[in-house]
Amino acid sequence: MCPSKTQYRLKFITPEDDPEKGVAFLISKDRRITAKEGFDGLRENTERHFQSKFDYWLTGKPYPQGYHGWNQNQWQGKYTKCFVFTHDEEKVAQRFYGFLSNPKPSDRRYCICVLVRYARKVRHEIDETDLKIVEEIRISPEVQKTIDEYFKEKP
Amino acid sequence: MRTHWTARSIEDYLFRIANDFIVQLQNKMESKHISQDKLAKKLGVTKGAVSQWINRPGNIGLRKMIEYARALGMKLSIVAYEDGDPENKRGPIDSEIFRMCWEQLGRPRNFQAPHANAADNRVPFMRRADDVNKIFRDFKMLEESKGTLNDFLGCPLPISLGKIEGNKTNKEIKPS
Repeated sequence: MCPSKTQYRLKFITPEDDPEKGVAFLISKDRRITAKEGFDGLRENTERHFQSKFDYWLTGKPYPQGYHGWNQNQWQGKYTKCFVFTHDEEKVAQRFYGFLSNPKPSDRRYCICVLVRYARKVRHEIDETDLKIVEEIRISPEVQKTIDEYFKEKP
Repeated sequence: MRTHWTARSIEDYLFRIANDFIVQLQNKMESKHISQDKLAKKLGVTKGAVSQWINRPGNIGLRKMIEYARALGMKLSIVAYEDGDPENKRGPIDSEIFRMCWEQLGRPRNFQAPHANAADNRVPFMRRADDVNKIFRDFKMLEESKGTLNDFLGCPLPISLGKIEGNKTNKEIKPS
């Protein structure tokens, strides 16, 4: 008997009809994927901080204290598709790591940020582990297929 | 379509608009190299109080907002608007957008001549051709200027007849 493949699905947290951008959780039993669980466990005030930051990213507001990606000069250019939303409070840094994707074949400008990992860290700690995991998940064929299926255009 | 998270409660909405305000102040602090410590001293409060206010924007009152804005050399206005989204499916418009538009209009201080203070008196980038048409109609110059309407979109806005007469580009248009 074949072992069953890990199932993935997307759940949007921002309005799905936004013509330019969206933020969605990747949901799965895959233990590496913790973003949705982490988000659901946030304190009310922290959740509002992140919701505001998702809004700001959607509107294109420059806000490096709230979110950023990594360029070719960082981590040898391995994580240029990765993205993070950040919130620092009371010496605890909270992070939602994800990746960017342009999933609509007919509109390559449309961009989603797929949130994968949630992390609580000591402030200023630099840890590649989360980025490695996000990148592994990003390039997995099952995840790519999930995204493609979600945005498959109806004939 | 699902509603925006700020439609859940007044507290959510309040948090978001107060946070927009705080981000504006944080940007100002960064550009002026003002630390939380320095701002706290200016306001006569502890650094912890400033930090608390930044982390819990929903708790800030209007009076405090004014105090903090004034301490950074800024002012505060409250804007009510309609954006065609009465059910709040898309959330509030970021206050930074209102500030940017006001600055692009030349920071007008009154209703009489909204473009009078414009740095270069140019037509704002969002002004529609319809609006320009209306201005021309007011001056009874529409017929004469139809051909040059496009040129006008990149030229000084005619605020008054005096200005039109004194404007090199507009001299080509003869008022009827």
